[in-house]
Amino acid sequence: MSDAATTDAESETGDLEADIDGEILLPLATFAIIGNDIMEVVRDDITRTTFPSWMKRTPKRIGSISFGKLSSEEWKSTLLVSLPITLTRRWGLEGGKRAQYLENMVHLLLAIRLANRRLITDHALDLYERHYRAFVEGFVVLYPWERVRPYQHVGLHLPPELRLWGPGDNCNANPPELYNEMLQNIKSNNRFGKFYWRARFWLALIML
Amino acid sequence: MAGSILACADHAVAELEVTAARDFAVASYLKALFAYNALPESLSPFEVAITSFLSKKYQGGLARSVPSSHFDPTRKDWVIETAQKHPQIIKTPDYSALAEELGCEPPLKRAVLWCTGVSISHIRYQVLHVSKHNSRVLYRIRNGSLHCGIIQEIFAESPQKDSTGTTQAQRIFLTLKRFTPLQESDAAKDPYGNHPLLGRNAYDICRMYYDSCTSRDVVAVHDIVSHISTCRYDGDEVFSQATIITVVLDRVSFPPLDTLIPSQPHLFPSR
Repeated sequence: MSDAATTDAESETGDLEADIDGEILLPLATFAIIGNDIMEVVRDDITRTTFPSWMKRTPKRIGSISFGKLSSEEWKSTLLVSLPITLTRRWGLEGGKRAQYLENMVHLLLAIRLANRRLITDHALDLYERHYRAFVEGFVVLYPWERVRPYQHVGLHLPPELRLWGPGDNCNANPPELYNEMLQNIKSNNRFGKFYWRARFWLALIML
Repeated sequence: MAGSILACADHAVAELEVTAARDFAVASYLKALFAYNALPESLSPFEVAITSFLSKKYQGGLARSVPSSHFDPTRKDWVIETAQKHPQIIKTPDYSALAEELGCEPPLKRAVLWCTGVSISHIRYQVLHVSKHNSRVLYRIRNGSLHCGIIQEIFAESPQKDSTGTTQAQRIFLTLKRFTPLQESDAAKDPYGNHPLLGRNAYDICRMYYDSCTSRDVVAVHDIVSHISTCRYDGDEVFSQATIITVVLDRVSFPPLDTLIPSQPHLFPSR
């Protein structure tokens, strides 16, 4: 999907449905599947959504230029909770291209949920392969101006890894990434190397 | 941890990011390896020692990684949160209603500890007046059907010793208010429940309920399936009452076991 912060296609080019269903090519700089109007609804829904404490909440200013990047956990909560709530309501009962965009996103959502299970079964991995393949194939058709990224290709190789190593929690990089974020937020004033051993001593003490 | 480093490093940290990340990664990987209920064959000679070590360290040992009761109804991996030091006696009418609804054997004891929350495999479920976000759950009732609701009360029987002197397992129960399902006329307009993948005819992750609770359920702690996210509906469709959208956040039994998973858990296959 295109950057949500870009100008909304509907406001720039008129009726998006007629354009994309009529296969009229739009200038890429003005084209966005999820535009500002949808993002405003998403942000409004986020304020009314409850998230359990173990899940990172979707940022309330998501999609605004001032907010910046999303972390991986924030991407996950956005895709698993916030976008389905809003997009199913807006596009779920419609036909045409928008329903196809929604279905494509739901295939990705289901694949992510299956890959994030805490208990892996052969059947769940088969379902993962089916949904992820449907997502990638749909992506190529629905977003012809985008190329398939290496990460999207790597997702197809996930099931053999999960069969070999068990559930993804084993080798999930999110916990160390969270520690990295905490450490990066410490203001070091570019003076590295001063209190190294002292800090390491305290760290060892904490870990004991 | 970061606060401690900040306090002792005077805002001048060395290559600590790399060191700490490596140390924590090693520790978390090791813990994750041991936390699954099947050990690799190469560790089988040390299984007794590892099990006893982990049961002391993590109060649940090797079965801790599977938080749902669907796989292990005898699990004991919960920790209650309570402000009370001593159990209280439930009043007679309340006790009669609870005991009748529970219908468990042995019958519910009258002296219980009222809890503010219960932690199951590090996932906290709390009562509504403590946390709105942690109180919304998907749960299973006695006939096996699944419902969404809000945790109103959590109470635990005080642990007691039997005639042989061994402490009996503590039983924990929850009272929940069940969200009212949509009437047929409204259910036909539900974009979530009627979705071909998310809806009730497929994975059944999302659906709508009325934003009201009419009936009450009393369940045991192992009948809790997972948290749910809820969002008040604010769309164009007109329903007969205010509605909410629920999204199930189950990471264990998704997709539902009885319909979609015929095979056995596949954790550490022979290589």
